[in-house]
Formats: sequence, C-alpha cells, structure tokens
Amino acid sequence: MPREIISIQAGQCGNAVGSSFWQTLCQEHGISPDGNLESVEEGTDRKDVFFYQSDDTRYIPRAILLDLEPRVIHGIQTGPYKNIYNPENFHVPKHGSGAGNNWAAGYAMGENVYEEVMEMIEREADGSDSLEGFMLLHSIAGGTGSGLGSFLLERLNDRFPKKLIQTYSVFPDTQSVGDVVVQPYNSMLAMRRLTENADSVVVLDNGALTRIAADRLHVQEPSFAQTNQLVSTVMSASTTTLRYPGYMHNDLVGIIASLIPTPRCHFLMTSYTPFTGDIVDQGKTVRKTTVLDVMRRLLQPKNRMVMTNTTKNSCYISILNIIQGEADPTDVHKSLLRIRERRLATFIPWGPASIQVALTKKSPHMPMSHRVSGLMLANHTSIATLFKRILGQYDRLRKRNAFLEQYKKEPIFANDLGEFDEARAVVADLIAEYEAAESSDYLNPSPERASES
Amino acid sequence: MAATPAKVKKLADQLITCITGLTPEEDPANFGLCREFALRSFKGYKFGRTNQFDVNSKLSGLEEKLRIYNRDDIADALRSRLNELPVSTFTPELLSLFLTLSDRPLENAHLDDLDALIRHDQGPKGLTWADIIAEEPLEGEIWKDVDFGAESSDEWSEEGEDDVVEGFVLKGDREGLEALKKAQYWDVKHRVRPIEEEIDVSLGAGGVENISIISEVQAVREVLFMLLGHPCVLFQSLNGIVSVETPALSTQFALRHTSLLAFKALLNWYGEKGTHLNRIRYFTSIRNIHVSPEQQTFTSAVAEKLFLLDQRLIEIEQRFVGNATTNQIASLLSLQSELEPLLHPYILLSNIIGAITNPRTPIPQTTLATLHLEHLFTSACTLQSTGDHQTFTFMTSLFFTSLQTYLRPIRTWMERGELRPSEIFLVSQTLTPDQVEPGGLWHDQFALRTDPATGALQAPRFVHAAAARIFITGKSVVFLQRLAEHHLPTAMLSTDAANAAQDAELTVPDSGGGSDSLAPFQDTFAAAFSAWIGARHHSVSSRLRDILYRDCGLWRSLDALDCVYLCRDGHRFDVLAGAVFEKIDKGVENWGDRFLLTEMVQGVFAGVGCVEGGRLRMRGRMQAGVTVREGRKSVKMLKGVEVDYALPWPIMNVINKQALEAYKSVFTLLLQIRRAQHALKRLTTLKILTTLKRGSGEGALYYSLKHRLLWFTNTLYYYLTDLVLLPQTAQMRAKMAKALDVDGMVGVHAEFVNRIREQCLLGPKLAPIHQTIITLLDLSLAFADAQTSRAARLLSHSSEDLSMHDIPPPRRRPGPATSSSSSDDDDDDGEGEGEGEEDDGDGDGDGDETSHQDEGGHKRRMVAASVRFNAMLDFVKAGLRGVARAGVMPHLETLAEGLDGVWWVVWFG
Ligand SMILES: Nc1nc2c(ncn2[C@@H]2O[C@H](COP(=O)(O)OP(=O)(O)OP(=O)(O)O)[C@@H](O)[C@H]2O)c(=O)[nH]1
Ligand SMILES: [Mg+2]
Repeated sequence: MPREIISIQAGQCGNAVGSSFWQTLCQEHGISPDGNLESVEEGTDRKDVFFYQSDDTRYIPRAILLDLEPRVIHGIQTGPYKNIYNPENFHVPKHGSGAGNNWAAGYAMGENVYEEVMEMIEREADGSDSLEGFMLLHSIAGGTGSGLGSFLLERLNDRFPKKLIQTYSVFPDTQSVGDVVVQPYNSMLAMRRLTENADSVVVLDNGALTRIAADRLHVQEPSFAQTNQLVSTVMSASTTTLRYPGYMHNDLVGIIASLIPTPRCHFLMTSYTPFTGDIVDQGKTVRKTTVLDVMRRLLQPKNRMVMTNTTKNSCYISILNIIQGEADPTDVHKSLLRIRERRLATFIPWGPASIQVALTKKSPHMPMSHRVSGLMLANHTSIATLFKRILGQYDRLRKRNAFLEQYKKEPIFANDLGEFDEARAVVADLIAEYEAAESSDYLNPSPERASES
Repeated sequence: MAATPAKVKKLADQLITCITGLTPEEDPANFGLCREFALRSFKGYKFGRTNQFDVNSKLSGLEEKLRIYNRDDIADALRSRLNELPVSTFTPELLSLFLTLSDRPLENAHLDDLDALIRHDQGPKGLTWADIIAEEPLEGEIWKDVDFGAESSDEWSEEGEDDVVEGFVLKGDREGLEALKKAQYWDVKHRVRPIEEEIDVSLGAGGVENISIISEVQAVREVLFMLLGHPCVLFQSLNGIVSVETPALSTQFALRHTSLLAFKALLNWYGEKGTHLNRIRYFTSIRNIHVSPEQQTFTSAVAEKLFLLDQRLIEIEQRFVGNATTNQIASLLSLQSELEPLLHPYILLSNIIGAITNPRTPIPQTTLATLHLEHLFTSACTLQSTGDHQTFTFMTSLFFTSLQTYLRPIRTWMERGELRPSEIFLVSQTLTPDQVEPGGLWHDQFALRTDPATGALQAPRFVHAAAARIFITGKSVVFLQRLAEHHLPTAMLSTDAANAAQDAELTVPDSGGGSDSLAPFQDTFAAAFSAWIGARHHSVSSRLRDILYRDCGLWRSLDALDCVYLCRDGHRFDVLAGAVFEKIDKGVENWGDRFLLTEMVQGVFAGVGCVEGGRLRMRGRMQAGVTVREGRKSVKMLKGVEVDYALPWPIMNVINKQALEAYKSVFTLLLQIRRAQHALKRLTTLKILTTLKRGSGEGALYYSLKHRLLWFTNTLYYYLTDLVLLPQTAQMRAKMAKALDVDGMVGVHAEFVNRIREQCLLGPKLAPIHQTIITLLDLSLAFADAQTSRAARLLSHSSEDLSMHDIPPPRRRPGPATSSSSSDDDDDDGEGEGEGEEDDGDGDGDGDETSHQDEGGHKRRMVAASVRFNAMLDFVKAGLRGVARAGVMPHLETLAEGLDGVWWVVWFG
C-alpha cells in the first residue's frame, strides 16, 4: 500500500548528504541509531515510504549506497548510524580510488557495477508494495556522483519506465571555480541526463548553500557537515507531506505534477526558513515567526538555495510552500492574499499565478523552538542563469580544449567528443525553453520561434 | 472653541499649574504673566478642525510602518482597535491627540502593556443553592410521605385519600361551639321596645313590626357563624351566595345604635366575604378522585388554609362567647377591620378558584391540571410587586405546597426516566421502547408535550425556561439505563451515584416579600427552580456525556468519520480512490462488487486506530443502463461509490443519519476531485508527451491547460480540506468538548454538518456553482483521456500499439503492446471532449488518418477546451463572489480568491 521511494546515493557528496538525511529521518520518526523505535506509541507517520522493517522489526532505510572509493562509505559504516543500513546495500570497492573527478570514468564504471547495483535495486523494488519512484542523491561536479549517477539515471529509466525519478543534485559553486577544475565538463554531461532522464531535480547550489550557512552560522567557511545539514533539512521538509500525510500532496507524482507543467523545465529550487539552532548547530537566532513572515521570507532571493540572477522577465512557473507547525489556515490564506496584492511573486504569463500550500504536522519527536517553518519548492525560470553560467564556463574550457585528455581515455569519448556537443545542445535547449516560458506569446509562438525549436 | 471665557480661564489656570507648578497664590506675578500669555495665544490662534483624513492616513502610515518592521502583532492590534472605535464627533481629535502624544511607537509599543488597561473587578458572589439550603432547610409534609407513583393513578388516589381527608376535617372548638349554640338569641323575640328606647329614628319608617332588635354581640356572632359557613338567621346562603335581604327571612333584624342602612351595608360587606369563603368551602368539599394529583394537592392545601381561617374565626368567636362577663366590646366595625386583612388573601384565592372552576372559555384537561399553579404564581408575582407581604406569603405557601406534587413526576422522570401514564405530564412518550431504534433513542422516543394547534409548550409558564433541561435529564437517564442494559457497567453505577447525590429539594429563599429584598419573586423562583433542576441535570447529563465520550467512543467515532469520509489521511484516501479508479478505467464491469470493495476499504484502514474495520462497508453502484466505459467519462459516476461506517448506536444518537448523509456527500465531492486529479497526474508519467514540441503550439497549449486544470482541482481541494474541513472540525471538537449534555452535543454536531455542507458548496443555494465545478472536473477527465489516446496515437505512429488503460510507455522504450484496439480509444476521445460542434472526424476508428489532419482536430479541440475552462472558471468565481457579497456565506470569497490566480487574457481563438 505505501508508495515507497528507494534512494540511491552516489559519490562522496551523495553519501555525505545521504547519511545526514537518514539521520534526520531517524530522528523525526523516533528511530534510534540501531533501527528500533524509541517510543511504542502509535504514530500517524508513514515510516514505510523510506524504511522497511526487518524480521526483527528494526527499521531499515530503503537506501543504496554507492561509491568508487571507500573513504566516505567507510565513515558511514563506522559512524553512529552504522547499524541502520542494510549491509547488502553498499557497493564500494575496498581499494578503489574513485572516478578522479572525471564524469566519463564514473560513467564507464557504470557498466562494471551495473549487474550488482541493479540486483540491489531489484531487491529493494521487490520488497516494496507499490514503488513510486527513486531518489538520487549526488553531486554533479565530481566523477562518481556525476558520471555513475548519469549512467544510473539512464538505466533506471529503461528498467522502471513508469516510476518517477527525482534527484537531489548538488551543483558546484559557479561563482568561484574552486575544488574541481573540470566541474563545468562534468556538470554539463550530467545536466544532459538530469534533463532527459529525471522527472524532477531539486537543485542544491553549493554556492548558495555555503553563503547561507556562513551567514546564518556566522562562520567564514562552513564545513560540508554544516552545509549538509541544510541539505538534509530541505530534503526532510520536502518529503514531509509524504511521511506525515495530510489532505494533499501525499505522493511524489502529485507534487511533481503540480510543480512541473512542462516536462523538461523540472529543475526546482528551494528556500527554507527559519534556520535556527535546532537545525544547524550554532545558528542561535531564534525569532518568533508568523505565517506571513515565513511566506515572505521564502520569497526572498537570499533564502534560495540556488544562486540565480533574476532578470526583469524571470518569473515563477509554480510554487509549492510546505508549511510545518501550527499554522492557522486563515493566516496562510491572508498571507497569500497579501503576497498577491503586493505582487511579491511574478508568475508565468500562461498559467495560474498562485502559490500552492501544503500544511503539515511537525514531527512529534523534534521539539522546535519556533512555531512555524516553511519550505518553498519553486519552479523559477531564473534557474536558467545557473545553467548559463555552467555553459559559459564549459565553453571557456572547451574552446581551449583544456583537460580533455583524461576524458578521451574513456570509452564514450574514444571516437570523438560528440557527447560533449550533444550535452551542450540539450542544456542550451533547456535554457531556451525556460526563456520561452517567460514570454507572453509562449502559447502562440511567432513563426521564427516555432522554427527555432 | 465654544467655551465661555471664564471656563477657558479656569482650564488655562489648571494647565499652567500642571505644567509649570506655579499657583496664583504662591507666585501671582509669574502666574499672571503665564495666564496672560496663554489667553492671548488662545485668542490669537486659529483652532482649525483636525483634518480627519490626515489622522487616518497617519494611522495607516503607522500601521504600514509597523508591518514593514515585522511588528504585525502591534499593527493588527492597532487595526482591530481602530475598527472597533465608534465614530463620534471628536474621534479624529482624540486620535490626533494620541498621535501627538505617542512616543516612538515602533520601539516602545508592547502588546503586553494592554493588559494593564483591563479592569479586574468582580461582581458580588452570587447566591448558591448550598447557601440557601444551609440557611433554610425546607421540609414539606407532602413531599416526604406521599409517593405519587407513576404506576397507576388509582393506586395513588387510594394512598392519597388519607391526606386529603385529613385536610377536610375541621378541628373546631366543640365546646365553644356548644356554648355558642346555647345562646340562640333568635328564639328569643326581642321586639322593638317603646319609642323612648329607640335611638335610630329611621327604624320607625318601615314600621317596627317585623323588626327584631339584636345586640351587637349577637350580630357579631351571627357574622362569625356565617363566615364559618354555618347557617344563621342574619344571612341566607343560596348556592353559596350569601345575601342579607331575602324574602325568605320574615324578620328583619336591627341594631339599636345603628341605622338600618348602615347595618345593612355592613352585613352586605360580610355577606360578600362569606360568599367568597363559601366558594372556597365548596371547592374543598368536592372530592373528585378523577382530577389530577396536582389538583388534589391544591384542594388539600386550600382546605388547610381554610382550616387556619376557621380557627382564627373560632378564636374570635370565643371572645364573645366564653367570657361573656368580661368587658368585651363587641363591634361589627372593629370586627370588620380585624377581619379585613385576614380575609383578603382568601378573597383572592376565591377568585382564583372561580377562574379555575368556572372558566370563561372551556379549558382542556391538560391545562386545567396545572392552571391553579399558573394563577398562584401570577398572583404571587403581582402581590409582591404591590408590596402586600401577607397575602404574598399566603399565596406562595399555597403555591409551594401545590408545586411539590407537580414536581414529583418531574423528579421521577429526572431520576428514573419514568413517565406517569397520563395526558398531563410535561413529557410524552412518542414511541414505545420496542418501537424505537437504538440510534433514535435520544430523538424519537420522547417529546415535550406541546399544544398541537399552537405548538406552545403545555406547561405552566414558570416551567418553560427549564423544560428543556428537565426533558434532557430524563432522556439522559433513559439513555443511561439503556447503556447499562447493554452491559456498560459505568452507566449503571452512575445512575445510582446520581440518585444519591440528588436529595436536594426545591427551596426558594424566603426573601420574596420582605422589604429588604428587591429581587422579584419571578426571578428568585426561576433561579431556585433552575438550581433544583441544575443539580440533577448536571450530574446526569455530564455523566452521560462522559460515558459517550469515553466508553462509547465519541471521539473515536469522530476520528473515524474524519478519516473515512473527510479523508483526513490523504494517503489512505489516495490508495482507496486509486484502486477504484483503476478498476473503472480498466472497464471492469463488477468494479462495484461489495465484497471486494469492502475487503479493500477494510484493508486500507487497517491499522488506523480510530477506525474499526468491521464497521466499514463499501460498494459501488452504477446507474442503470450505463456501462462502465460510458460512466467513467463523468465524475458523476462516483456518486455511486458508497462507503458506510456503522456507528455504535449510542453515537448514532449524536451523529444521526442526516449528518452521515452530509459526510457522504463531502466524501463524494472529494472523491470526484481526486478522480480528476488522478487522471491529470497520470499524464505526468505519460512520458511520450515529453516529446511534444513547444514550438508547434500544441505542446505549450497542452502544458498550459493541464497546468490550469490541475491547479484548479488542487486549489479547490485545498480550499475544501485545509480551509474548511480542517478548521471546522477543530472548532467542532472544541465546542463538543464543552457541550453540557447530549442535546448540546447534537447541536454542535448539527451546526458543524450544516457548515461543512454549506462551505463545501453542497447546499441547495450553490447548486449552479457545484454543477459547474462538476463540469470542470469532467472537462479534466475528457482532457486527460484525449491526451492519453493522443499519446497512444503518437506511439502507434512509431509502429507500436498501446492501450489507453495502461500507463503509457517510457520516454525511451515503448511499453508492451496490449490487445485493446486504438480505435476504441479514439472513440472515447471524441466523445470525451463532448463538444458537439467539435466532432469533426478526428480519425475515429481510422488509425490511418494522416497525423497532420489528426493533429489539427486535436489542437482545435484543445483550444475549445481551454476557452471553456476559462469561461467556466469565471462563472464559478463570479458565482462565489455573488453569494459571498450577499453576505450569506462570506467564506466563499476565500475560494474565489484562491481561484483568482489566472489574470491573463484568453489568447487566440
Ligand atoms: N554540499 C556538499 N557538497 C559536496 C560534499 N562533498 C563534495 N561536495 C561537492 O561535490 C563536488 C565534488 O564531487 P564529489 O561528490 O566530491 O565527487 P564524487 O562523486 O565522490 O566523485 P569522485 O570523487 O570523483 O569519485 C564538489 O562540487 C564539492 O563541492 C558535501 O559533503 N556536501
Ligand atoms: Mg569522491
């Protein structure tokens, strides 16, 4: 009966984010690090979306952990929540050295691990009543999460055509090309799969994450552990309607369908407020929040977990606000009216200009100091600016034929670099589609435009 | 500035002292300077009226500022107070003054400070029933001894006979009477004496032959005799009417010292009183065992009063008989003034008796039974207001004595739930225990007795206010007994406990007529009566309420209804609905099989604590002659989906069948919306449509329309659930928790049901809007169907066949082919659109149609659907606004606002 979701976490980032996510879920559902329930009382939550029960009634995440190097997964296997996972769901070579930040290497490794990983996925799928879909956790700038992730997206699509695939994809900081020199290449290649093979992508931009963490925590350089807590908060909030079912938005397809009218414009950004000490260790700014405060703050660019440059045309395609806590529905309605009155959010000219709201309960296991908190899942055309930046960086590298040697070593680039060009074309098309969505003649395109696509 | 100069000067002086501390006494020089300056300024200054618009805009500015600085709490407080502020001539001035006085409100305003403004004064402590009892324990004779059992009236009358008879026996002073009788002066003829002895000359006028002179003592005794109801010579009593001058009396009597006329007048006065007393005597002498116990008690009480009077009269008589030697001054006049106050209450009583026994219009037996109480009560009220304390006490004592009997069956009813089988009692049984269904126990078995013609309650007026509570208490007892029969031990216990707790009797503070008391009798009585009922009512009904809550699981039942019908757990509802939709979409003819559906619904709600699986039933009914394939095109088909949750019978008394109907219709509406949502959501997994090119226009149109339809269903659903059901349910529960008795609970629930019916657009007034919404949902279905078959066609062009009933294939690899033909699907498609004029041969049954033509028709239909959507949406919004504006259902504005999202213009045609 439950609509199960299997999550797959790949690479360093994917696993780090994933382990933080599982820890949050365990806390929210009152599951102890050994998988047992902390209290016996009957809950109204649906643990079975993300967990299943073993024979000895322990709760086990429907999670598959993949990496091509042992470090991060080893950390998980020795960490506080080590016992919670199914030991059969790890794939990690003892002495692997990863994909070396090479998308092509990660992608190539896919063929090698395919059998084994598919077996895990099939097993999990068989173990569920009515599987709703998959959740992929990864970064797109490195090798494993990006390359192996891309490979899995393609294959999942083939193998489970009717299932939804949602990804939580960590995008590199595009303002400062930092840790990975070739991140534009890797991102570009992964972007193609995210566009073509995923139903919905929640974009988590390391650039924005770092800045938000730095600002809220008052630290110069937030650690990954700190940013990952932001990420896991967002992930847990965006799945509350599935785990604590209210009247609506209790399945992934419902959320995706109402957020994503056009199939390819499915890159979502998120805002969350307020971040306080409960969520991130040191953020101690506890303020009394009203529904209106929350709804207003969610619209502020500085709370978006994606760095985008809004132009005068950029607009929302859709918004779903998930309001947690004791929010009075009338307050919510009033806030929506006020937002509309003051035109705080601009919408596409060809769809309803309205913010959808889901009211959810808060986990009884997580005492919160503030009454109301909110997550915004938004489909906003300005996300294309992030893609444009990646495209720009990619073009700069590609023009110079920089760092291509290691890619050419991999089978997919053995003959030519056509894959690069195809990926670039898909991303460029995606950007164009977002821009077209902003235009008022979207439904009635002029002939030049029509021929363009 | 209309104040006089003197007044201005006075005020100015005060102001100066306030501000500067100068006084004219201490520092006249400076003070004078100040005053001069001030007065000059006042004179010279133009006191323009405060500009109220200025003030308003300043206040709005302040509010806005507060909001911008996130001080919405203060802004809201300010706004709400401004809204409340009554507008009078000086409101703007006052506000302007406040604004001028205000000191950085943004920093300094604290909501908590408002608390300081609230005055905490408590009124005097009200008189409690306990106080009354402590002060004056009242014991009534009748109250204790007699058990006017409800079993049979015959039995009662036998038992009661003694009491009544006792009341009729006059314990006279026999000796005194004998002595009196010895002095029978009328046997002694006292003829008129020679003229010199006469003082009254007028006696002579009529001739003296027939005139007997009697002494004043004798006259007094005659009068007393007459008043005591005995035959005598001075008066004659005919049918109780006492007269002085009658032809039957051959002799006329006269007093020596009084004129005959004055004597006659006096005698007439006494005669009149005698007539009244006779009426009372006659009334008490009739022993009619067929009259109601209430009347019998009244009769006996009257007899008792009469006895008291007689005793007084006999005492007086003794003065004139026993000690004839003493210097007793006998005077008819002084007797008159002595008797006047004594008799006064009896005259009133006689009037009441007259009104009861000889009514001007015939009175039905039911009313008659308690008419005396009504009259006694009314006259007590009047007497108190006229300050006649003595008569008031007399009347109230009669009233209370009679009341005890009236209260006895009420008490039996309230304690044991038993009814006296008579036509008189306040409550009547409408159905026997065997006839009544358990679920109707509360509503159907008993009724308050009302006049069939006027509908007015048949009971004395003083009971009216409390009647409902009396009624409820008894019903609660019956209910508890029923529960006890059904092995609910708590219910049994409670009745006994309640009985023990209830031995208080009706007592009214005796302050009614006292000069120190100003409380009207009517009110004091009402308070006492209400307290008398209240104790019992409270203990019984709160116990019943607690049992319903706790042992019968009212909360659980409400939770279950919330879950099953109001779809509180969206996930389970999804699963349930999804399974039904799937069957319908597959065209399964026996989709509505009650066994399969019941099994399924029980499975879906298994593990939900509040829902008892065994109480759940489900089935689906088809309209006769409609196939599933036809029916599935409209959400109306879902009216046939029936889920039944059989509530436990005690709960059925609170949540009745009609209420359940409302729950079901909400369920149907939610299910219908789900159906549209389900169809639209499924398009998301139709990955073939991903390939639709936006540039062709079709893709964009498809996306836009899908988006709008889905948004419409979501918004509607959100309104119904989060904005109506959620808060209304919470509100209902809060009120339910506070309900005092079952009627309170029923009322709370009925109100809730009315509200949700109305707010969920299910009321009759909103039928057109509801209808349009259904059409919009059908449009969604048609759209989804059309797209599904379109996807199938697109696929079949890539050489594969696809069933519309199967979830279409992946983006990359087509799904497995099934045998269902695509021509069928096209059929559905054409009709699904349902636009007659659109029926333009879009390749029905013709898979070979060129894709170009096919697309043309498809696109045109989509444009039409899109235009239709916008038009209907506008209609719905306008309709909602219309109703909302009429002020009847303001909440509909909320939905209209929710649907306001689309503000763009309809595009091409
Ligand atoms: N937010 C966040 N980002 C991370 C984390 N770890 C790595 N990243 C980001 O991920 C990108 C690098 O990808 P990784 O996940 O480290 O690489 P990988 O998938 O393990 O691939 P290989 O190491 O090449 O095998 C960079 O943009 C990092 O900033 C993390 O824990 N949190
Ligand atoms: Mg790595």
